[in-house]
Formats: sequence, C-alpha cells, structure tokens
Amino acid sequence: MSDILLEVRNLKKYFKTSRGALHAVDDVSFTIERGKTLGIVGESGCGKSTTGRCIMRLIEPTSGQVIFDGKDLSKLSARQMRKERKDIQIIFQDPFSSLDPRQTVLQAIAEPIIQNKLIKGTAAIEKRVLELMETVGLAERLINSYPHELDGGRRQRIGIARALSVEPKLIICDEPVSALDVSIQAQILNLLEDLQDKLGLTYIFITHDLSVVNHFSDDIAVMYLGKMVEKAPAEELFANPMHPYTKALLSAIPVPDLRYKQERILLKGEITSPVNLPDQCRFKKRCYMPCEKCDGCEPKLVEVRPNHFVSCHLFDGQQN
Amino acid sequence: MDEEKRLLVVDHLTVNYELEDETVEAVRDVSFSLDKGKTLGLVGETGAGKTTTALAILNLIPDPPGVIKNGTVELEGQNVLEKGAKDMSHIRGKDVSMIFQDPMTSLNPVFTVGDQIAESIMIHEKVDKKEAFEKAKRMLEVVGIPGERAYEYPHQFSGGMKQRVVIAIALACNPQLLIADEPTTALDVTIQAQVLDLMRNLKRKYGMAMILITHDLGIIAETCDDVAVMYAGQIIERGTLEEIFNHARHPYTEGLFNSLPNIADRKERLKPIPGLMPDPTKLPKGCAFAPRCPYARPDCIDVMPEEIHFGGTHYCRCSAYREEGFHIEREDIEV
Amino acid sequence: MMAKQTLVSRQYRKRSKAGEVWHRLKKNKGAMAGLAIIVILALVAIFANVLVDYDTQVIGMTLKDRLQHPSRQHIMGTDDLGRDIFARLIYGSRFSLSVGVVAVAIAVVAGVILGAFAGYYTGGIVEDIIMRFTDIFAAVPNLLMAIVIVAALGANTVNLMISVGVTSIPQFVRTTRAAVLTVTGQEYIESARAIGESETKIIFKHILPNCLSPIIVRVTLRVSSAIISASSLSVLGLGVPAPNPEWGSMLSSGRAYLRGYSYMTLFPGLAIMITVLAFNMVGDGLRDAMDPKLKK
Repeated sequence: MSDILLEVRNLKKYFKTSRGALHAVDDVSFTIERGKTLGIVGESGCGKSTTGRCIMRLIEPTSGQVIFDGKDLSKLSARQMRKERKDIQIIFQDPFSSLDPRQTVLQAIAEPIIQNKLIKGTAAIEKRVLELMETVGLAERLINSYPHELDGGRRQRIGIARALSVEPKLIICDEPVSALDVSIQAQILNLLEDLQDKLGLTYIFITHDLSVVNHFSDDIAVMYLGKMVEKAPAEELFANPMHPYTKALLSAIPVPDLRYKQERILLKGEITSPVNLPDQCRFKKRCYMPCEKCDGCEPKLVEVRPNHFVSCHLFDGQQN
Repeated sequence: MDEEKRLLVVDHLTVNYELEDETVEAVRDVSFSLDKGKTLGLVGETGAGKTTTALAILNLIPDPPGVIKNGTVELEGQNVLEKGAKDMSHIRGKDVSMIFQDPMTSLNPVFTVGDQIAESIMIHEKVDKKEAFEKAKRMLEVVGIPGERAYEYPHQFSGGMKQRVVIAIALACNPQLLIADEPTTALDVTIQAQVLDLMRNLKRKYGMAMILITHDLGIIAETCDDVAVMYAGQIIERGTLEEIFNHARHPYTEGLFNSLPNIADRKERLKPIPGLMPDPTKLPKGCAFAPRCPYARPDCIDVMPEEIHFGGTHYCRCSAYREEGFHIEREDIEV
Repeated sequence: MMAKQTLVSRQYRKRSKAGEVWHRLKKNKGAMAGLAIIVILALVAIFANVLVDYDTQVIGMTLKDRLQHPSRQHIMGTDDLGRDIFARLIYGSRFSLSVGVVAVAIAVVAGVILGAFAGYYTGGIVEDIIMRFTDIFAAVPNLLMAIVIVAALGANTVNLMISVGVTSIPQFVRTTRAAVLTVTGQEYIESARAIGESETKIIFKHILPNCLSPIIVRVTLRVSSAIISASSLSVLGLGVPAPNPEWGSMLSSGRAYLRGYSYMTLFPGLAIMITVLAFNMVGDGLRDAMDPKLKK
C-alpha cells in the first residue's frame, strides 16, 4: 500500500534574466511516500534548492502542480498558503544566517508556535520550547542565549527545533549539514534520523554530498541543470548507476578508505548556466559517451527498471 | 633518515592570538618535518590550528593579534621566522606558495589572469614583461586552460577555472613546497575531482612537496603520503597514510572516522564524537580532547599527554597508552 | 504544584543585546567621554535658567559694559552690546542641541520609511522613484539646499530645523536601504516566511530591528553635522533670528571684533567644536560596539 504524502507534477521555475529565461527547475516530477526520505543531489546551480523552495512556495513556481496530502498547493491563495506552510517546514543550510540575530533561543523557537496559535499562555509556550530543546539536544541553560554566542551545530539544532515546533508532516532539509564540521555533522544526521523514527517525519534531503545522501535517503534523485536525470532507490542507484552524469558523480566522491580503489570518470568542463537552452541533452557538452541522438532532442525520463528512472538517450529503447 | 631530503622542519611552533581580553592558543607546540617531493595532509576541524600553522610557515601570521611565542620553521635549513619582509617576499612564491580556499576572492578582478601569473614570475625571475607573459600562457596550458585565455579577466572564468588559475600562479616559479589550504572546498564534486587530479599530476611532474590542509579524510586518502591530525592547536596523531587510515591510535582520529557515513554499508548508524570543540581561550591543562573522549581517565584533563611512538614516524598524544595493553575500539585494517 | 509555576527562562537571565553593546561601549574611553559631554550639555540646556540669570546678565546689561575682556565678573567677557557671553552660551545650547536633534529626527523618520520601502520592494517602480529623488537631492550641496529652503520659508528656528532636516534625508534613505537589502537577503527572513508570517510582520519584526545599528550610528554622526549646518546658516544670518543666542550667530557677530576681542568668537567656536566632537566620538564608539568584527 502506498501512502503518498507529496506529489510534484511538472514543476517549472524560470527566472527572467537579461540574457533570457533561466531554467532553474525544468519539468521536475516526483512523489514521496509518508515517512520516507527523498534525497535530491546535484552540483551548485542544478536547481535543487529552488525545487525545495517551490514546493512550499517560498518561490512561486512558473508552472506545475504540488499536491500535498491531497491538496493542490499551487491553487491556494497567498493567505491560505501561509496557513498550509505549517505542515511543510524547511531547515536551512547556513546556521549563521538562518536565525534572527536579535532573537534568543526561546524567542526563535516560540515564534512559529505563537504565529500559528498552537499554544496559548507564556508558561505553556515555554514548557513546549523546553520540550523541543530537549528533543533536539539543547541544554536548558541556553534558553536565553543569542545565536552569535553559539556554535554552528547548536544553531542548526535551533533551526531544527523551530521546524519541529509546528509539528510538520514534511521537512525540507536544504544542505543541513554542509556548513558543519564532520563530528558535528554526524550528530545532526543522527538527530534527524531519530526524529524521523520518533515522529514519522517525511524528509526531502537536498545536498551535494553523495555519501551523506546515500546514508540518509530511501530514494535519490539526481539533478543536472534543472532536470532530473536519474531517480532510483538509494541502494539501486549506488549499485547500478545508469546515467553518465550519475556515474561520474559517484566516482568523484573521495572515499576515506584505502581499500577502496575505483576508476574515476573525470568530466570535461563545468556546469554551465541554464539560460536559453536548446532542445538537446543538457549534459551533452560534458558527456563522455555521447551518441548521435543527443543533438536531436532532450531525452525523457523513462523507467528502465522497476522504480529506476533515467533520462538519457542510451536507454531510450529499454523502457520497462 | 637522509638529511639531504629534508625540506621543511617545524619545531615546537606555538602561536597565540592575543585579543583585547583573551588569548587564543591557536597552535600549541607543533613539530613536524616534510621531505622533498612528499605530501603531508593536515586534517582537523574548524579552529584546530591548521591554517595558522600554514601561515606561520610562510611567516604570514597577522600581527597583531598573532604572536609567535616559540619555535622555528626551517625551510631548507633557514629559519623563515627570522627573515625580514624583503627576504620573505623572495621566499614566498619562489620556494613556498600557498593556495587559499576561496578562488573567488584570491584573484584581483582588475587585472587579466595572464598579468597576474606574469606578475608573480617577474618578482622572482629576471625576465621582461613579454617573456613573463609568454610563460604565464604556458602555465595556463599546464593547468588545462587554453593559453589565449590569458587575456581574460577573472570574472570570465568559472569557479573551477579560477582555482586552476590560482594553482598556475602558485606554481609559476616552480616552488619546492606548495601549501594548499582547503583548495577544493568551495568547488563541486566533479570539479573537485578535476582539480585534485590536476594537483596530483603537477606534483609528480615538478617533484614538489605539498602540505594539503583539509577536513575531508577522503581527499587525504587519495592525495597524501603522510598525515597529521590536529585538534585544539596540537598534532594529536601523526604517521604515514597507511598508519593513520589502517592503524589509527588516537581516540579523536577514531572518532573522525566513525563520524563519516560508510559508503559500503549505508544503513550503519553514525557514531559521532559527543560534545564540542573546546573554547581555544580556555583550554584545559591536560588533554584538550579528554572531555569528549570515551576512554578518558580521570587525570587526562590535568596531565598533558606525551607523544607515544609506535615505531617509524607514527605517534599519538594520548595518556591512555601509558597503560599496558590499551587499545581503541577501531580495529586495524590489514591489507 | 501547578499553583506556582515559575518560568525557567527567568533563571537564566542574561545581558540583552543592547546590554552587551553598552558593555562594550563602556570600555571605549573616547566614546564615554563624548557621552559624558553630551549628557552635561543636555543638562546645561535643560537647567540653563538655574545656571545663569539671563535677565540681569544679558537683557539687563547696557552698552557701557560692552566688550569687556574675560574677568571674574564675566568669565568669558561681554560682547559688543554688553551681553555676558557665558550666559548666552549656556542659553545657546538650547538652540544648538534642539536644532540638531529635531532636524535629525525629521530626517530619520522620513529617511527610514523611504529607505525601507526602497530596500524591500527592490527592482520595482517604488524603488526607482525614491532612489532617483534621493540622488537628485544628494547632488545639491547640503548647505546650498538648506539656504534655498530657509530663503523660501523665511528665517526662523522652525524653518532652520526643517531645512537642515530635509537636507539630511538622502543619507538616511541610503543607509536604511542598504541595511534593509542586506537583511532581506538573509535566510532568517525566508525562515520567517516559512513559518507563515505576513510580509508586514516580517518588515517590522525582523527586518527593521536588524537594520537599527547602522541607523543609530548614522544618527549620532548626523546630529553633529546638523549642528554645524545650523551654525553655518546662522553665521550667514539665515538661522535663529537675533537676538536669540545661537552659537553660530554669536560666532558671526564676533567676526567684526576678531582682532581685539577674539574671545567673542573663541568661546562659541569652542562650544560648537566640543559638541560636534562629542557626538562624533559617541558615533564612532557605537559603531565599534555594535559590530565587534569591525575592530582591527
């Protein structure tokens, strides 16, 4: 039985620039089941953060549908959407800029509760804040601290507590650990995992770090220049990557284990900006196994194996 | 060991940052040496003192607030810490070069990249502008950028390309030692792979030594011959790549490895190091890692751990090893 | 148990952000000296009538007392009409300080509102209109602009305040807009949106409070230049009308006697200088105290 919490259909976001339309997110579709984690991986500028923000309409999508818990969010007015946001929360990348420097820990965590009128009365709110602080592992004595007095890991815990305070169903984690040191990174990842087990949360985990996403996600979607190029269950994707870009990406991870030796696929060139794209494969310029079809039209995302989707002309005839 | 091959000897280096009302002990009694043509990886978390150590090698500690309290840095037998500004400018770039983390800000936006490479060549070699520019073009080719692009400005280059230009500047005068401070942290994975590959090839080609500063153990595994793990301003473990990765001894080194997601076993739970880095203005008398250490003895925090040697160059600073038969949980990896 | 529920947050009281700024400011000797001078000046202005007897020492003086050098009786001497300079200086502080403060208040209110709009609604026609007007305003020399305004409205104290205030507006628009722009780009604004806060609430609760420090610094620095502008206008005869004891006009009337009776210009000049210096020192100190990273 599949219990789908979020369905994104043909989501597009084009930004107007002086040189033409920038295709930040181009026709992305996916679904997430309740309680699962979808990892979105890609390099900077591939549209992964924009996708996350479009889902909760922090950025208005150009077109496409976002169906959350049976409701079509794209049809809601700004006012209705503000109420709905409670169920979708976001954890930001930079713990240094995602907290208002003038708010204490108490104020920062209490703010969403007060805003959404979940609990009334100072004492009751404070009690809830303390509960949340305990959940995310913040000592009680920090309740009146300001963000600048705390380190990155603790700030990120405040960000998590803030997101949890409204009891959301879906949390979008936008690079939640990439600004943190390794030992702190592991603390936060474990915390997020525990919270998922305990509260049945659903995550969208946006990151550029493949080893983190592998550890954390049930499904992984790989994005390149606004397009989803491959999507598969994590194990399948790592065991059997199909898209040339995914293969290169996987082989590029430096592995901290001397026993682990692998052939590295070095890509030529760099990710270009997705402005005024011609109708051809976006990866073609960097691809190490292009075929004649690549110039023709953009490949479509096809299910090559059960639950394994690839968008590459090499797999055109292999639809499952 | 052959004295001839020694390139760099850092001895008892201690650097403090003396602020208005507190003193940050950034580097505490750090000693290590580096042979010609070898690569040393300096690993550690934010604030471990990696960058300060590197800056001290170049005699570039900002003063004030930085004060070199003690120690010597000998580059080919000469103590760079005693050199004046003029001598240093000859050494920097010619004998030692440094690559910084952020390629976006280490290039001057108002000069062409060719001019910037040529400038460094002209400081150290007796060549005229034209010749220097020709050499600059050749250097660009070396780092994989077409020579014609020497006439372009930094903003016309992407992040990875800029870092290549920075490398070209650093290598323009064939330095003996290259210090790379998180050279790929600001880059994407596929670009990082390109840049690391380039650095490895160039190192082999020119036979220079390198100190690679990073927090990424994966990069260390691929690039380095020797590793020094830093924590709270000290080297807490040092050895060959194989010794550190397969026979780690210090509890902190173990903790670092355990914190990383295991690529082979994705469901394995991470084992983070509990707690936080100590405040560098209030370091304990003894072992700075003791408050986070699962093996800590009651007196660890009061007694400064000494170097415990395990043969060869491998040593760690951990008092627990004074006890017969002590070992950490992480098992040695036999190859 | 439930009866006496005390808040846990009470147990961990600590310095607020303002408290911390004050703590750092206290260490800055120059700023504290400046602050002391400002406080003293303010007290002098408020209690001027207690300190000197204006009626006898100024109004009651006659021409026979004119141009007396400083003595025990007239510690700063008397002017060309026999008025006691010390008494006039004391009363003059009322004019100088109030012109400075009121003028800046006008500029802050107008400038911050316009700047906040320009900064928050970037890229739109609102920003264009506000910023182009600001540019035009800023292109005219301050003093010239003030002269024009006073000339058009007539020379009196209120018009002086208005003219000096209006000429200061562009600076506040720019400062505020820049600050709002930086703050709006921060993730905590997005975070506030993510929990469902409305735009107005975001502007007043998150954006403006975080823009305060550059504005406060600008205010203190601007008060001093407003005092100078007001004095300059008075020197030109466009400020506080005679016989009111404004420092600038005192300076101006002393000009004719500069040779033999330099004390007539010296003391008002010193008063202006010390006041301006005090505000500047506090402004610089505040800037350092509010942004500790800026130091060194």
